[in-house]
Amino acid sequence: MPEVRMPTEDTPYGFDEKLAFIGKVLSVFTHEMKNHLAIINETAGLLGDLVEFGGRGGGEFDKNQILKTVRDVELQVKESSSMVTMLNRFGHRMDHPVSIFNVNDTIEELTALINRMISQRRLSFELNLPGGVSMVEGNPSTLQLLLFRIISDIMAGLAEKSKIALITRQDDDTVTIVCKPVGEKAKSQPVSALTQPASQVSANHDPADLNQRYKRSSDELGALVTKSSDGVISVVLPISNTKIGPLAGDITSPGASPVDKPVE
Amino acid sequence: MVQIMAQVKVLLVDDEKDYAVTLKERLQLRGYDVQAACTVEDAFEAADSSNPEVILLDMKMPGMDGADVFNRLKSSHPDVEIIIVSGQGAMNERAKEISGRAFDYLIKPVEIQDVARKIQEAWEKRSSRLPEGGRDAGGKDAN
Repeated sequence: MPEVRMPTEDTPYGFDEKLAFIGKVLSVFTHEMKNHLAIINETAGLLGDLVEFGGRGGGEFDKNQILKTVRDVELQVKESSSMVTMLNRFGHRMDHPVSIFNVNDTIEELTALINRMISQRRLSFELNLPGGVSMVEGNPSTLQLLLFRIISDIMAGLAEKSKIALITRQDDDTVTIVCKPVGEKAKSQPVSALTQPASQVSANHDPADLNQRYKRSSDELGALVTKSSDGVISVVLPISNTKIGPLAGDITSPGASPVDKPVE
Repeated sequence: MVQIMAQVKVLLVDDEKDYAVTLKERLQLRGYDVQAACTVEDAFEAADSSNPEVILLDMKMPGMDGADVFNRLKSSHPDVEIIIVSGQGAMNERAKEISGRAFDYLIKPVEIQDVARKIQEAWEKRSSRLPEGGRDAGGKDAN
């Protein structure tokens, strides 16, 4: 059982930022789940209505419609369960301060959990996460925080119906995550509680500002963050040199817990 | 004399398509004349074309703040009664601003009986302040 660290005088710098990030993920997730439950509630209610109103009319029940409705409930429950699995994995990422993890998994989790935040701005993710990317060593939740800030900054500068592309690439001894705005720029910077605290700073910050903004997380990860003139932000992570056996990390079965291997 | 339910014209605005379609079907089974809109553009278009008497409005619509959607619907259709429906556990500041002008505020998931009752009450309130029930075919009486 991992030790739970509560804020103290010795609380590490950045603790509040991580709490705010977790709070944002939880608020987006619970909103999403409330919608899922509302759909399940209405679909189950419709099932009752079909029986009640069909029976009341003296006619036969529409079996096909009833079966379709039952299937809709099953599908919705599966979708909700998948979201819960993502949140469970997200939580377990914080079990160990340093571990060896799969970058693509952390991106998939994060984007699933904050997808509603993006879709509320009428934006969408475009993921290109090829298999075979090496494991990296560090704190996966710090990487997710860093990506969240980058995504929030890109989101603040994009017009509706644009995309945020996330691409991973394996080089000799590094894994690069490319975060790329795809589409038109926003005419004005939207001010939204959804993007706080990341949007408190303009998305068009200069490179020095950029370094400051992402410095804490990138230092912790030993990562290099760069931004090109066209707004593409790249995060370069060193691959893990720790020799490990086959990890359960490559298991993608639904419901599997996170599989980061702690580094002693 | 038995008062039978008028076919109240309802516009359901919610970006969750599955939710909107299912709730629409359940309300139709209960005799309401329901249209559903899953985008703000569709909502404004449907409001203009069908002139609903009651609107069920989700406060979290993509692309536009729910309070702005509310204000625009109210300004173009001042007689409509709007019931706010939200998945959020608590009203945000902008929702509080408009809550005084909304007929009521429901939190998802909602009970169909509660929704039907609120729609009926909203329709009655609207009808009571408009001459002749506010429309030609509303509030029929039958023996």
